[in-house]
Amino acid sequence: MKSHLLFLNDDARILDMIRKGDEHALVLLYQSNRKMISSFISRNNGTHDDYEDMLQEALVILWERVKSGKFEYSSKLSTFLYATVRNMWLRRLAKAKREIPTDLQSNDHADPARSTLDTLIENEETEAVRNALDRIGEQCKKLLLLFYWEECSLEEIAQRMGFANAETAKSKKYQCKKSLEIVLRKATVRYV
Amino acid sequence: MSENAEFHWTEDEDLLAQYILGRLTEDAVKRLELHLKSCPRCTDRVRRERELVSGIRKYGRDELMSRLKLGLAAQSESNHALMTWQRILSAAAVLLIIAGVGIYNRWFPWQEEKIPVMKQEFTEAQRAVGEGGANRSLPKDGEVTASKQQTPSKASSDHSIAQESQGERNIEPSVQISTTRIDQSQGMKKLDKTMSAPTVGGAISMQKEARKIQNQVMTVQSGETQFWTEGESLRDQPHGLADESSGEMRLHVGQNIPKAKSTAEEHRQPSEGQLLSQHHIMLRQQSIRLLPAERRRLQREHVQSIQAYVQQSDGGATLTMYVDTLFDEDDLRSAKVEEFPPDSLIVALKSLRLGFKLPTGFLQSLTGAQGAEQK
Repeated sequence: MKSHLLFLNDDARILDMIRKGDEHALVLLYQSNRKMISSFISRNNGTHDDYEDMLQEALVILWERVKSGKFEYSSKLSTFLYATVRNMWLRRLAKAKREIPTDLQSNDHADPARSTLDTLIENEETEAVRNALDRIGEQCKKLLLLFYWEECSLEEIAQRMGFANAETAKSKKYQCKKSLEIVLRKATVRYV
Repeated sequence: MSENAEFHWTEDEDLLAQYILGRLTEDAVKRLELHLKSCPRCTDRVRRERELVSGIRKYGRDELMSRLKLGLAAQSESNHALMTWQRILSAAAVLLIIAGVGIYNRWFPWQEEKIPVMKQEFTEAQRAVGEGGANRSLPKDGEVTASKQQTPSKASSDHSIAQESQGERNIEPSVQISTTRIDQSQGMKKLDKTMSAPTVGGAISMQKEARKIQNQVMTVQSGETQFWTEGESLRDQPHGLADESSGEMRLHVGQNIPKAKSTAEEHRQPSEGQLLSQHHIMLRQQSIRLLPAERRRLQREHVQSIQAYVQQSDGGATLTMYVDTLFDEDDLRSAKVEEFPPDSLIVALKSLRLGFKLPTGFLQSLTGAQGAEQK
């Protein structure tokens, strides 16, 4: 019998799926929350594409938080998604200097110290890392993603990637990071 | 300062990763950041590490987003396909229901060609009885006349409606047949003298046949001159009436039954080898579609039976059978009608023997009516 049959509610089942790396959980969440998010975005000068982007980003944030162990289940997942989308959307509205409805009050504000140049540089660096990751091989890329993005422990990485133990995973991680830095150095003067 | 310069904690990969990933305590973070303020080298190292981790995370996020979009697209296609199939299945279900209703109500032209097959098996002994039946009922050549008959004038209301709805098609072939009444107490003995192969077993079989008809559940009232009835196939009885032996019998009977006109006279003065009485039973057939609604419902319930309308007429009676597929005209022409007073009748076709239950006394009333007419 599948374990999820024992869960008392859908949220618990979804969270369990995310922790196990089942990305279909996000599809389920998307479908169950799209009407609510669509309604919010359309009421606040957004389009169909906007609500799709917002909801998908919110789902990724939820994924990251759950995987990194930083997610605390204090409210329903739909509430978390709604709040996340609302904050992101308000930031975007502020950034675009659009008119913000009076009933919305954002707790988050864009960093005034960040300039457009900073954003461009950051985007360039991100693109450079992306290209470098595609060159270091699938195993290294997966290992680095598990460690830095999903923030898995070395023990968990060893288990998921079939390494002997955490020490082996640690050693592999070091080698992969060095490989990435080498590729980046070759591609950017910054890393020389 | 020199102590700080010597201790470049950013060279510790694990410590640097824990710092970037936020896994250190507040005190540890404060201590490390205090060093960063006085160490440009470590600050640069931390900045590069942040950019690297940020790039990795962005990569992972984008990849997850791509997979999510693919998953949503696949789900959407799946839902679309499911909806398409649901629509197809719904349409198929509706068509099936319509077809079912159509078949049930016989909307389709091809259903007119459906022939009710009632196969019969018979043994040699039964054949002998069948031949006897043929002998009893076979009319003389020329007595059986095929004619196009009009609707019975005294039809009951529902029957009239059925006939009217037929319109011009109400010219289905009907056959007028001279029939003989069989006196079951004496007729068999008399028949024995006129037939070449009557047997005791045949007599028993014939009585069984009569009882079978008696046992049929039919609702007719005594004294009626027009009524509905049902014909049931007598599966265990032989047809034997139209086989190769019937030619001999035809000749034999022909010697004993002259013409329909003279039957009343014969009835008054029965002689050895002659049948007791004779009157006309006109066989007609109509399409089952012309059945009144009530009888059609009965026909559906008793699919093996044939609905028939009997109406007393001058010099006999008319029996109209409502059939899926009309009998062949020759088959109808050569049909034999056997009477089993007081309330049973058998119509023997080439491939089918049909038993009908009639109101008690109806058969006698035919003779009576004929007698009165002749007087």
